[in-house]
Amino acid sequence: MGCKHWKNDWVARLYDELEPDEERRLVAHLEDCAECRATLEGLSSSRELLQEGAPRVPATPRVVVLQSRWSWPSLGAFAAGAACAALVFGLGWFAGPAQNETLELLKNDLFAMTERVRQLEGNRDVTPAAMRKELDNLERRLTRERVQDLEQLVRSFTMAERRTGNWMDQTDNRLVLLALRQDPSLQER
Amino acid sequence: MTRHSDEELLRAVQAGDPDSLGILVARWEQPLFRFVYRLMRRQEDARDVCQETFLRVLKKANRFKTGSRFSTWMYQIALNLCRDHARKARRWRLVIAETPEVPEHAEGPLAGDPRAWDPARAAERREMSAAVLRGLDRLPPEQREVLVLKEFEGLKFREIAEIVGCPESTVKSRMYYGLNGVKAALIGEGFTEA
Repeated sequence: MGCKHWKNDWVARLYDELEPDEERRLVAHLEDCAECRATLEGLSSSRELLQEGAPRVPATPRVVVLQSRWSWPSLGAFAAGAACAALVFGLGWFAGPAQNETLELLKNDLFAMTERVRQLEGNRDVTPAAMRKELDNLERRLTRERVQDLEQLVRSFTMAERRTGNWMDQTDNRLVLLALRQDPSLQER
Repeated sequence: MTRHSDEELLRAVQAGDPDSLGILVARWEQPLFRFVYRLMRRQEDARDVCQETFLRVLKKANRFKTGSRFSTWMYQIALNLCRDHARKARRWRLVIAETPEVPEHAEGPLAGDPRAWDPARAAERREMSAAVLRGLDRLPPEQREVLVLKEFEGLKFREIAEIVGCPESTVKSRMYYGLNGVKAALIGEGFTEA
């Protein structure tokens, strides 16, 4: 078994977090145990390597606190909301029941985005540059999180279009056949 | 000028004072971003998680328990968001460490003195950093979280235990295996000897 039962104390000692009585017990043990001394030294060198190769962190982006104030929705936010509603309705029409969950997620994101636009527009202290940045962030988040969902929806649209197109083709063919039955002379035109 | 504690500022936020949130954000944005970036290693994702963390601090300010530490609570929120993000990020793989953007001579006691910049040393340091990142990458997530919180954020074991939600002895155990894991990785890449 060795001295593994001391491992928590080794780690605590490495970071000077041993209680005084724990420190005394460990020091007394270390005097007689070469294995523990070697292990502690190994942990210490691991720590040095970590400190030497500590990953650099890029400059911290500033987090701006934007205080939202209630205001009548601007024409822009209203138009955005209406467009979102129309888009979601249109998607729902084509997507079908199998995509309802996906659509729900997308709808939530779009409405959250619209709400955020409304809040930003209502705050007169927000500069256009800050607002553009905020919208870019929202758009990136929406794009990243929903790109797969959007792709799935696009596939659904394509399939729905194909189905619709196929049906329309079939309907066309049926109509042509019906017309020819009624009036065979049509074929010559 | 009196410096208000984090907990005092949060109480002010609970009472509806937005300026106090601004002070909290300014105080903690750097340490929080450092911690989240070291776990996630994508600047954009780290920025999003930090933003979401502060939003949750604002939304859940009234749920903060009196007597707790703000930093512990904030790190808990951030850690949970990082874990959620890792679960959802099935399309992304953390394979290559991002090249540090901060030039070598911009930090440390010789900061501001371009003549002190040694290109060979800088290249060596970059390779070492990349190797450390790869070593951290290979660790199980629970060991990596503890290592980052202890070694790079300097938190106490007791606080880390509270953040990650396990006993202090478990935290120390993870730290032990994590340190050994990183060292083994560096030995494997030839940066040190056994």
